[in-house]
Amino acid sequence: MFATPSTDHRLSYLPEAKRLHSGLEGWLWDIGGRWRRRSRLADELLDEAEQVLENQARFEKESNRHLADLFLQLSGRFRRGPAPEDIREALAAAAEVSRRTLYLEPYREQVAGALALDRGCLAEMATGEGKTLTIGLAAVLAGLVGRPVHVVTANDYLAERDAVALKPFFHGCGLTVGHIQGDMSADVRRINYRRSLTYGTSKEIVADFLRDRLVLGEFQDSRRRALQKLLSRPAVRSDALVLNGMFTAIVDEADHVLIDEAVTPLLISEQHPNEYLQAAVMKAHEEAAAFLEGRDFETDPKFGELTLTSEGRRRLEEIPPERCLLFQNARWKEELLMQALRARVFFLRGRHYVIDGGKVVIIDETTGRPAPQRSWRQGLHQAIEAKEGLELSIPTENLASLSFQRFFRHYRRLSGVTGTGKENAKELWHIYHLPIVILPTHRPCIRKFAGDVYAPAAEEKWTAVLAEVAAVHSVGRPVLVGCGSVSASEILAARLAAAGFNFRLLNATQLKHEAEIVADAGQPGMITVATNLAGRGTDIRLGAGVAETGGLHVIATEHALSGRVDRQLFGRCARQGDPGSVRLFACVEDELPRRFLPGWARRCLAHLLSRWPSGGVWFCHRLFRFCQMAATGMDYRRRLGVLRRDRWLTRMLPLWGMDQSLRER
Amino acid sequence: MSGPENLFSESWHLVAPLRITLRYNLDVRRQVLRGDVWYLFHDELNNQFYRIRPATHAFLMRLDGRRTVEEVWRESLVLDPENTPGQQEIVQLVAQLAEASLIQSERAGDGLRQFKLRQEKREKLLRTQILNFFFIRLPLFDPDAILSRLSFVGRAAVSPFGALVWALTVGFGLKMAFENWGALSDRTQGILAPANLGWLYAVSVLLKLWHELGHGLVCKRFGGQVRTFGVMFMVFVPLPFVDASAAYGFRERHKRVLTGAAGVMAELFAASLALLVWTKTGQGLANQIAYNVIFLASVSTIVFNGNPLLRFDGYFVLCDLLATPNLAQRSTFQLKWLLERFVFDIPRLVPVERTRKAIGWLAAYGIASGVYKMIVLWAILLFIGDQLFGLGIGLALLGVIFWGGGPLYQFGRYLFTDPRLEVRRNRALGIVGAFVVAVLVFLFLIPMPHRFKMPGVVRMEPSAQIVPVTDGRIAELFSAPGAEVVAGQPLLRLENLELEGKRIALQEAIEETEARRRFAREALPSVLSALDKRLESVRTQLADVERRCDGLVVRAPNPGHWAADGVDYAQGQWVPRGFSLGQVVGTEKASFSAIVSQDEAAGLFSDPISRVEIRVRGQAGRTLRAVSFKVLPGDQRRLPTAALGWAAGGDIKVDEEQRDAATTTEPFFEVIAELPRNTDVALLHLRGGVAKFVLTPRPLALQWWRSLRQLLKKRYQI
Repeated sequence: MFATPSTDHRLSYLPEAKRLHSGLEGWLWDIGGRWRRRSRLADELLDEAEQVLENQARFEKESNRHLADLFLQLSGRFRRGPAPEDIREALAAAAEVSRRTLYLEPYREQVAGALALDRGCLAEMATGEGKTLTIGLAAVLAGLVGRPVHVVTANDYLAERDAVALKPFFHGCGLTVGHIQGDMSADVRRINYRRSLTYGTSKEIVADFLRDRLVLGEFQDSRRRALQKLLSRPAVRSDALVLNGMFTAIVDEADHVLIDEAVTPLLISEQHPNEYLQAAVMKAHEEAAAFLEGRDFETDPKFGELTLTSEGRRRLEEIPPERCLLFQNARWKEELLMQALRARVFFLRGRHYVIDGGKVVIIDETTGRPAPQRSWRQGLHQAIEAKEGLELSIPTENLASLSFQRFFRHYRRLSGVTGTGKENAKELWHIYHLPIVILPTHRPCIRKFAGDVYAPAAEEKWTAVLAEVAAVHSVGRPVLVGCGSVSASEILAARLAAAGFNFRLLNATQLKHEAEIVADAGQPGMITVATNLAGRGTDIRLGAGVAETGGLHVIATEHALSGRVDRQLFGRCARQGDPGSVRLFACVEDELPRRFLPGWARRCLAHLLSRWPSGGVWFCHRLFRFCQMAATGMDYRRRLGVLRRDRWLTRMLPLWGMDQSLRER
Repeated sequence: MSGPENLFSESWHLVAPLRITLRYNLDVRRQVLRGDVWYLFHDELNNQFYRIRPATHAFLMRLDGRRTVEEVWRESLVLDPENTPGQQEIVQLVAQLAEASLIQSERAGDGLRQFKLRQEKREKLLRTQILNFFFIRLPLFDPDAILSRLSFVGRAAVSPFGALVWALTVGFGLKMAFENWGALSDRTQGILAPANLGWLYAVSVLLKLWHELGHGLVCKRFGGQVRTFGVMFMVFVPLPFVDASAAYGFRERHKRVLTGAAGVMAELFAASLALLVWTKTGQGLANQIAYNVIFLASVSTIVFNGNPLLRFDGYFVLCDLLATPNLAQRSTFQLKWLLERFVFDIPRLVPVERTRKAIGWLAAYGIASGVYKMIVLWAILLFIGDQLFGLGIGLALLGVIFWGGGPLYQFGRYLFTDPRLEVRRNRALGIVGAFVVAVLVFLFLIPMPHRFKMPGVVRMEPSAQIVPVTDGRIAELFSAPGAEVVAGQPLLRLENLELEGKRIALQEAIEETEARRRFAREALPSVLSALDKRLESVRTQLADVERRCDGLVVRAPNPGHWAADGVDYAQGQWVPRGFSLGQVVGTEKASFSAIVSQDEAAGLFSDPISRVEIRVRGQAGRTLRAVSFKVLPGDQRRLPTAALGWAAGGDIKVDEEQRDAATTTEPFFEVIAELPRNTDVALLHLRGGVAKFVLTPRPLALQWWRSLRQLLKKRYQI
């Protein structure tokens, strides 16, 4: 491909990151955000969607050929900047194409969702509302501009499924589509990225982006490359680039990518032997063996803190600094030792990590899935290996790292779809400049909320859960029990097994059948125990006759730290107008109150619950909600803190190359 | 977080490949502060200073711009593991140094960032300048040439000879100041008189120039650079300033201290000379100017420049003397540490100071300086509000918002968002919330005793003046002043020979006229009527004279106590008519007449007065509770006794134009409180005292709101 300076520029196009407003400016920005996500907006979009659907009728008689010509014309107009009528026309035509190619007629809500995405909003749509088609419609609008569009999906499977499923539709709209899979080679990826639309996971796209940036090296700026090309042999050939510039991104499951995973850094790293570190970690592990909990150190499990007692401090001082190089620095000696102790006390095999083929594999605490590509920060990983008596892995040195948070802030047009996001509206607005629009469901939701049950202690809670499972199961309805953690799911599984129930447990171990198990959860008489996030994105279809008995019954066994996660679990049932019911069981000993309520408050609550249950429940409900808000706020501040720190560093450091181009404003 | 916090950093890859070195034109000096070695980087281009720890300094020195940071770090790790900073520290350090533009690298392409940073810094500076509109600094020119020409003065002044001259002059000045203390302090009242304001300002500019010249010359004398001269608008009053911050880089402490103190020393020198002029001249312009110099130099030294509680010269001198740079900042950190350590109970804090004594001093300084600043700011705000009227109120309000609201906002933000508080945020919020609620409850709900005090005098009733109706010499004293008398009891007898003569003459005239009448009845009946008339007239005259003669015996007008104001009457003393011989003070009824100014009058009517307590001068230990009281309606202007007025040393402003010294400038309310009878407190008529009006208890906030309204009303008639 012959690269003109302008194509070269576009291939490495990287807009500046969105501005992070603070102080007085932040307040004004906040007010602007409240206006942008006003609740009226959804109504406006729905009205506009009505018009679009009326327009669609006009195209019903047109030939495919004619539609193709129309899209060609529209593409020209879109490139110049589309007028609102153009957008409505394109959407109407796309809806018609969808009817012809996919045999799906978009609903009003889906069209409204596409309009919201086109306006750079985050559309909150309940699960099962046809987000795939919504994204498809929005992708057409974005694709007509002629700039690359990245549709970000939750996993490789979904990327492929959606891209393949929607291919005829996109073709009908005059667009090409590609998708990225983890095992694709760079050349295949490049071909896929050169299509009008590309489906892929955030992880793959960020990794491709980082690799490109490493290739570009010091020639990040296209002007610089053009000059270099004039002066001598081109240093970087733009056809070596895989990605095609950062214009539009439409993020599916945006809450997961933009919030839950936001600060997870994606690293391009290489193994770099660090003999000092390895020696020091080994030594620290050996020395730590002599330290006893209670005598030498005390732990605070609430915050994962560990403090040495005076006895421990004395023992620490007695360790001769000559043992290894890093011990000669007293501060590091302490830090290394504390790390060894933390690895011993706080990191538990089976809960935080598993050992697979002589390697420590981290378990994602929220999903309960092993994450083999992840590793703890330098030293800690080795400390855990030392604890398990494994061979120390060679520490990796980062060549480049970028969090999803920072990456997505660079897209010129960012939009997304989520099932649950309103709890984090403020964060999405401040960090990504995404206003959230809450779209109604197509058919009225008839989910029944049975009253929440609050128990004073875990024992009573599990008993109640078991009774509930038995009651619902006896009617033949399927039951899905969501657990906050892998360990909780195991506790429940043990009890269910003891009570003689036949059930399926979904956690880290059954990874391969995950989607299958979740999809089957709607069969009559099925009992499924799963962690809250397992199998997310998979539709649970109701088995034959289930709808008549009342649909799927979802049992939440505790309040998650975020109201969003609770709603995700509730959203598992009563989709698309199906019947379904939800009941939440929580107790004062759950993680949420343990982390956010002081001990005396919890004791009071437990008392209240046993003495005056009705009032206790009322009080618990509000208090737990408050805790969730506190947790959400705390997480937001943490992510904002990470961003602020990154921002400060990248602004101040004399960077060049990739890091310079990723500088935050 | 887990893992060694400092040893490794996730951002290391940003820094590791950099080939950087310290900027070549940095001036690095070693300073020893309280036994600790520091390296001070002086950026001469913008006169900024950065203080670095020796271990860090050693690492920075290894950076040569050819090897990467990573290579240098590894080398340092092998050679000197004990002092090598961790990755986290290095990342922070490099970012900070880069932020301050102290490092350079071989790579190009970073210029844009430098420009952007510079732009942002300037914008930020402008913003702070706008926010800090009471203290705007406007650099004007480089005073180096002038100072170089004047450098001989600096050399002369900073020498043993100069020190001697200064010490002698200031010592002499102090001596004279003590000697003339009364006269000096008396004249302060006129300092803000309109006629003097122009001179006051002129003198303050000159004095400030002199002050700044002192800094500049001494700084220059010790080899520092002085490159900025400008105008500072302090509360909109333009005053000159020079930037002598180069002194910060002096290696020797005494040089730093001397440069910092030079301004104040120069002012004191000027004040001493002015004192000499002031004592040797009479009323006149020279005298007035000299007084202004003395006043400004001493006040500005005590209140502002010399006072280490504000961040002026005195503060920097103190910092140097204590070898604690950033004293104010450190004291704030120390207070914050105390709060976090003992109130919020946050684990693993990095202490600011280690010894109890140092912690105590720092904390005490922080609190003292905070309180002092509040007082000064409050005074300035009131002053501005007073002087500039409507605009002044607006400015004062802005001041309250920025100076009061700013720190509050910052504290709130710290409470809600500071990551350090994350582990104990609930506790911190709870404690602060409880504290705020407690304060609010205290202020708004808990009624607090509320009182005001007003001067007044005791009045005894019935009481009357003893005024003889006739002149005369005292012939006889029937009872001595001070004695108890009953009504009508003769007190003394006067003798008036003239009157006596007159009486005799009149009696004789009557006899004569009667004789004539007898004669005329027979001889000349026609003159009878004329003689009758004459007789009548003479009789009338006689009656009058006799009445006056009766008046010679002075009697007590009412029962009571003859109070003669301490005067003794001797026989033969001439007493003119109408002259007061003292009073007979009744003891039947005692009351206290209190003068309530209009400012306080609101208190009389708004809240029910629960009781009035009176203390009489001379017996202040005893409190009398008024039996009843009444407020005399209407505006009064005449004091019951001149002793309450300014002219006689009282507290109430009197009209100086009126001769009686008892007419007030503003009308007042008089409250008559009836005093209990049977007490052992000696109640003397017209004895001064203080009435305390105890109002029904009200919450403090209500009381303050009322007094604020009164203040505004009084000053601005709002």
